[in-house]
Amino acid sequence: MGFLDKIFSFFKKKEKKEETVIGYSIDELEKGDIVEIAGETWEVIEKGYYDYGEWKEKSFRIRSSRSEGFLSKDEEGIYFFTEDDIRNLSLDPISYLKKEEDLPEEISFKGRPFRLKFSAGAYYVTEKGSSPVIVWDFEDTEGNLLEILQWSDEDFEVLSGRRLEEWEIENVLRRG
Amino acid sequence: MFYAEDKGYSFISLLIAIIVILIIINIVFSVFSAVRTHYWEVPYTVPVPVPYPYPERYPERYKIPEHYQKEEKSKFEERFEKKRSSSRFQERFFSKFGRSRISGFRTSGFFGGK
Repeated sequence: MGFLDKIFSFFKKKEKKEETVIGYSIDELEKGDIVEIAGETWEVIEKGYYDYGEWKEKSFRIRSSRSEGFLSKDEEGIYFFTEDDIRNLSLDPISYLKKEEDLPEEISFKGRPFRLKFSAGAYYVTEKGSSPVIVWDFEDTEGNLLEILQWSDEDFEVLSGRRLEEWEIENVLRRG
Repeated sequence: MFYAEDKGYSFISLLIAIIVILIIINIVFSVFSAVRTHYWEVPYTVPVPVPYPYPERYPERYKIPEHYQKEEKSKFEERFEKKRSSSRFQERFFSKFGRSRISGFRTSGFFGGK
């Protein structure tokens, strides 16, 4: 790289990155995209999918100024989850699963009862590789969702969320 | 006569010289060999035991050493494998949140889909 090229590239870096609206389909989301969900702005920080065997669920790890979460899509819907505190559960899954084989059918989260709807082992696949994970999905009577993910013997993740309609995802911006 | 005596004398002295040289070479090699054995080589090899051909009678002889035995699976790995096999059943009939997974059922190849 010549001296003049260096000067030009130095000035190029200073140019403001152009943002373009690419629509609102979450199938087209890429790492780095900005997406607005129910009035809050989120950045896609990881793109991956859950491999359940014969079917897969697209998943995007997203981050806002306040928290992190997931936007996932399977054949039947879009789900929006944000990370929550494991202490909001009525039981400690780490100590519970040391004694028991499985989580109970009903669990209390922030004082509300949730019933188990789905549980499976999946591989979470990203560009970095794949990790085995056990997923428990609970739902309450009002349609609120609770997802508990186990990554290893003592590594758990608790996510609370809801179903999302596609129109609720607005202004998908891509950094050009 | 002079030449004969001279030749005889030189032959004997040549013979003695060769013998002395051989002795010196032998001593040098012996010393070298002794030093090499002492400092660089194991004096003899350890005999390798031959497996006894009756494993059912002498199981202790055939016991796999601990460091070769496969590590036990963690509880997470066991649970993951169980969930993985049971979820294959679940995924054909149920969706994650209770609705029937008809589309997945149709395209899984069971009814001649993809």
